[in-house]
Amino acid sequence: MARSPLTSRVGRRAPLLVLLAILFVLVVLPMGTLLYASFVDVPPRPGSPPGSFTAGNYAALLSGGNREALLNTVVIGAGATALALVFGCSLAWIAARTDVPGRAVVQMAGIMPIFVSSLVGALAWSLLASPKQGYLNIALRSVGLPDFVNVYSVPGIIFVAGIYYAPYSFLLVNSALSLLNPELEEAAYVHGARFRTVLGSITFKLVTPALLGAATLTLVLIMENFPIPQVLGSPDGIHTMPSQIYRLMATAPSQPNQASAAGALLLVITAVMVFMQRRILATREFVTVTGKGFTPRRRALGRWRWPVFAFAAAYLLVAVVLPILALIQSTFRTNPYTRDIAAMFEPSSFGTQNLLEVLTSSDLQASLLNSVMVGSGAAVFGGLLYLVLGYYVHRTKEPGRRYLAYIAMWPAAVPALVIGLGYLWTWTRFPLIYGTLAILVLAFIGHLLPQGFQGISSSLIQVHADLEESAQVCGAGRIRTIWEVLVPLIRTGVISTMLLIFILSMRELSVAIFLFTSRTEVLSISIYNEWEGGRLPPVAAMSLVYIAFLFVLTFVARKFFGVRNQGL
Amino acid sequence: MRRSSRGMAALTAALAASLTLTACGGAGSGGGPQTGEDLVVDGETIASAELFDAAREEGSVVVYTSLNEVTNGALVEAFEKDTGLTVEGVRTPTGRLFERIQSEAGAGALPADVVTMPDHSLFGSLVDKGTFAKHTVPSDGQIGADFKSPDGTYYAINSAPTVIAWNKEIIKDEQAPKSWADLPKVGAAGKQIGIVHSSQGAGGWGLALFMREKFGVEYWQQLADTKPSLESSVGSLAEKLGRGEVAVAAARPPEVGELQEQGAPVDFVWPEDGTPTFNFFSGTVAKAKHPNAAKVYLNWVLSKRGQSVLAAEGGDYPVHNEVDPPVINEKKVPPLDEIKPYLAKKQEWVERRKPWIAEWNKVFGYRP
Repeated sequence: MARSPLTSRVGRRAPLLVLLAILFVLVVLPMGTLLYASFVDVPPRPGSPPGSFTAGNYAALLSGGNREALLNTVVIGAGATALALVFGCSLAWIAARTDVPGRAVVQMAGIMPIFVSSLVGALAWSLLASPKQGYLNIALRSVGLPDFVNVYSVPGIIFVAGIYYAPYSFLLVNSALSLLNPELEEAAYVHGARFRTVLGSITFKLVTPALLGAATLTLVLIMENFPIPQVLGSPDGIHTMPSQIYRLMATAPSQPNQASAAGALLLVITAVMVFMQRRILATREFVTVTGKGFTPRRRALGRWRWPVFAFAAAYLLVAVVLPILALIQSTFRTNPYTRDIAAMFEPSSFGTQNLLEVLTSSDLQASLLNSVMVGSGAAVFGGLLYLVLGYYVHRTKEPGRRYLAYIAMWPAAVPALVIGLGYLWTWTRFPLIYGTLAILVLAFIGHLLPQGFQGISSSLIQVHADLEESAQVCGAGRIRTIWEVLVPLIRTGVISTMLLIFILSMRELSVAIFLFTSRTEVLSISIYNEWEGGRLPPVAAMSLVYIAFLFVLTFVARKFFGVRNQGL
Repeated sequence: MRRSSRGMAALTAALAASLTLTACGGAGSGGGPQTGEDLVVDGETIASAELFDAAREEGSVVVYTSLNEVTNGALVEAFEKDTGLTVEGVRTPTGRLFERIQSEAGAGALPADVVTMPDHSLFGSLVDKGTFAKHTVPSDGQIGADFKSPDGTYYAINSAPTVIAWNKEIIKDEQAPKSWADLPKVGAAGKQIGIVHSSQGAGGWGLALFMREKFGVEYWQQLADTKPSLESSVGSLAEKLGRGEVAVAAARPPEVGELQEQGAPVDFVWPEDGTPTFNFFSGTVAKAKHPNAAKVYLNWVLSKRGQSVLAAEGGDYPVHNEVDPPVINEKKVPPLDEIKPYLAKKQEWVERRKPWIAEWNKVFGYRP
């Protein structure tokens, strides 16, 4: 029974149309609302009049606080990305390709800050290094260094953003380095190349896709990060675009149109960066994993073994250990005032009531459960979507692949806050979804699309299609090929990506901030609301619970799935 | 490999299943009188048997509020205990709450039965759009005319004062400012002052308006010259005062009281030259899905019982004239008329807001 050409063309196009429809709802619609809002003079709330065209929102971007915020965004983005890449790539190389002692510790150092999250990290560093009464300043005052560190500053924000975004570079580069066939490096050594040359011209060149991916992703994520500039910048009036957008939205009366224009501008900047990254990558082919087997060889560090380990340990100290100590100090303090370093150890200033109050509160349990449900939903349904999308883009010759890949990167360019707003404006018409956990799951899947898509894509790119092609030549169908050849090869990458999505969702604040209700309050919102109300002990106590939960989760996942040396 | 992929499939299924379990709120804990009886608390009738039975039929009330977490939590707990009705809804700072209400109301899907928030401009714009239904509470006779709406659609539920507080470790009691007039002098002497910036909701704008009305625009300049720390919420300002990041703050008594309870070296005065005060307003939504429960809720909040909870837990002044002012850290606060309250008129509040905030931003170097 021959099908008509038209039906068969529609049939062939069906997967593309379905994927486009999903991306349209998840990404294009909320962003279209945003773009539209940036060109009119009336907020895009449902029921509002359409408004008339104006360029005034963009003109306002060039004035006063907006211009300053734009400049801060660029400076902080560049500085913190550089710092994050240095930390992330060094740790990735150390963990994957050297004989460093205590490799497990280095591996942990590379990923542990991800449990801390930028919100909790910023809160903890605010406790540690606020200009007068930060714990570090109290300690340093006792050795004659008053007001020594100040995290409420541009360098302070760069530092904190840099250390908490390093895990992204670590994850992407570490997995690429672990899969790298060492033949080329060995060949270079055989021909007399020096270690530094090999590292620069071969090792890191071979992982260029991962490296560029990491750099772009990190830069975009830092430029759109809201909690760090909000917590550390707002006390001294230092704003970036996202905190400025929040300020435009949260102060009364709000200015949603100008906020949309700010979001649209950020979108343009990142779109250009993504375009450039693709142009660079398009000129070369990067296949490093093939059907040939190999055993990874590790570089002997010699007398540098311990200094290299110390570097990783120092990173772990500033990113994880000190912040946790600060949170513990704040959780168990009953008296908010700390006179001097002796008062930090004064037993009478301590008690367990803050912690008990938080642990026994039904609100905490409810918001933790909400976080878990939203995280699982985003990981499972999002993971499936990202996988299908990745397969379509990288493994088929179907039309429209480039567009899909392009749209999938868009949300990275939209500040999470604005995505939340877009969803608020778009979905209030659908009461079945709006106001439930489902709206949060949808918003998270849309928001995390770039991370999920890129995570799965880099696994797919590294596995050459020749393995699947040989299966097909031997008579296996497409589904069987995927299931028996491709899935086992990329399983680790897919699970890592899903776990990453779960953890990122668990930590997400900005997307949810305009979408939650009292029944769907997630943990990050509870923490932020308490912080905004100035109640630090419960903030610290909840943050500790949060960190502990994410830590246990990842530990169990590693054990249960045998996911190792893949970052998670 | 095989075991792991089966494990993964099992986990996936489990996670997917967990998603279908929607978050079910617990049912009311069964307080309140029997069916067919009036709701009477502390000798005051809050709802007739007819109204209360209808409310109980509805089961719950959805409240959108920007009261702080502690105050709201205490209200909810006491209300649920007294009535057996469940309270749901959203609690966020005013700006975000207002944005959400506008979007939801625009879509014709505002889930709120009751809205509680301060600010003549924002709340007033909801009133102007016909958001609220007319409703007279049983305790109407005990509530002063200042606290009622002209058209009968809403009430003020409390009066929230702003006072001068200081950290005793950073500044000695005798050097601490006792009046708003002292404030710039203390700041000029090198002590860090903290205030909430003027576009941050009712507290910030109310303070800026009071200062300008009372002392003129020069006062803004004198204060700005001391480079005060400009905070985005009264809560975070209080926290900085407690830790000693700022020496003196324009703070709210309940927050200072909480710091004192925790042992922080802080104290406050009722300024000699007046106390800026603002109100939270509350009204029942015209298109409420639980109109009867909404009435019971507002009746209860404005009853002696509700007002006592609000005063005791929120530390603000009640509007019910039979309810005593709050006790803060075991000290009874003076009656409202003794603190020289400055309560801005709606018209001044709304009309001056835009031009004056723009000026304030310029004077304080605050880039909006």
